Amino acid sequence: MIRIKKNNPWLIFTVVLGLLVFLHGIGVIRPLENALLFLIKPVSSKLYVWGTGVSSSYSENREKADLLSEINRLQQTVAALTIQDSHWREVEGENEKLRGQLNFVAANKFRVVLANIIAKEESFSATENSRDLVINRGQKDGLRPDYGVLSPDGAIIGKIVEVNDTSSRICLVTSPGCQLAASLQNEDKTKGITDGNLGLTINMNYIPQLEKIALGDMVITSGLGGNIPRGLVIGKVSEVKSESNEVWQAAIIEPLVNLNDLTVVSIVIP
Amino acid sequence: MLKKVGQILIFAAVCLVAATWQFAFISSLPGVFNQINLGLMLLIFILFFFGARAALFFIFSFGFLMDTFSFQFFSFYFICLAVAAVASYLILENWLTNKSLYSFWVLFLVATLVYNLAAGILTFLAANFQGLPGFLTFSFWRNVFYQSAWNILAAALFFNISVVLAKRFQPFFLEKKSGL
Repeated sequence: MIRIKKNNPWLIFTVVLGLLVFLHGIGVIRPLENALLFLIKPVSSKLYVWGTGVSSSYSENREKADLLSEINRLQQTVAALTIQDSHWREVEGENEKLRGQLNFVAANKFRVVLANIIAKEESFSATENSRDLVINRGQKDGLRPDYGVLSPDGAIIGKIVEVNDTSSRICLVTSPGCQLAASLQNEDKTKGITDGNLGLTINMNYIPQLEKIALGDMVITSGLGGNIPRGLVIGKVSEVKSESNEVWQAAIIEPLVNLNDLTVVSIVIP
Repeated sequence: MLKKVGQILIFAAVCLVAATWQFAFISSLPGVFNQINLGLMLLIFILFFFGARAALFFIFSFGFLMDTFSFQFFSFYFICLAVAAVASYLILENWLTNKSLYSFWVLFLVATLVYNLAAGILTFLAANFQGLPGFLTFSFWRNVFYQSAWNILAAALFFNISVVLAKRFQPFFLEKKSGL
């Protein structure tokens, strides 16, 4: 017969762990958890900015630093102008369709909540390179799952998947499983759902063969699904996969902003 | 008594700093650098030099903090660290000495593998068996390799610092006396 010592540390550990999980489950230790999060948030934010700075400088080639920074600056300008252009095109199209309905502008004026990114959440799942972001705003700030998240340029970079009292987890548009209702800015206004691909690009699958897609077509949120408004830029089409014997075609979309350099985001409250 | 309370407070503060660095800083680093597993390094270091009780206390402090900060289900880090600690402890108690760098390396490698396997399996279970279990993918084994490399470096560093600071690891030799 196995004899268990009363003061066996492993036994004590198991019992206390069980108790802790129970107390967490019923919410008794939530004030302690919130206090700890409140305590580390400012430090986390600073550490994350440092880490992102290290990450950015690591990825840059020193010898081509000037050239790269110039390219980056121009890319940012192009991205900002493309987003602006896309917004205008969307507004123009909507205006034509709605023939001056006055509530259109009001419909696009949404409230946003600014947030700092405080960490990247490690994923142990089978999907490669899918690291979610953690921000310092949560349920207490009015955030809910499925709210859209914007970069400082105004492009949508992901959506909220989980909220705590004072922090939230965001999946990036390039992460597998992070899906958004989207629409192409082509003649047919093709609608579909985007899904992340390897943490690098975005897929838009199940597009009927008859729809015409061109490289460089802008992809925006379609507004279907409720919590994310229409017209937020997701990216532009960089490749079209179309086989004549297939029922569907697919588009590969490139995001317009560098998702690795983000430190501040805004969340759209519908 | 006061000394003990002080020690516990210092230990908790170290855990808080380590968990914050792991959560916010290391996770934001590029490429192979974000595979540094500070928690696991400290756990094996504590188990090797201070024993099972201190290691369990570390799991409590560090695991609780990481479970609070992270969006993994609560107890995820507790379980991963505890499983790694149990495997390392059994190996250390039954087969290895705690006075050799090679033992230290073996412990680190075993702990890294067990920790990541536990994390992969728990994630797979938490996702209701959707997709592939993490350990069947290339990225899992690549991450285990990177983590092992970091841990081997850390082990060499920890061990050599300890050799300098403590007499416990000073080598001794049996000298052959002349005339025998």
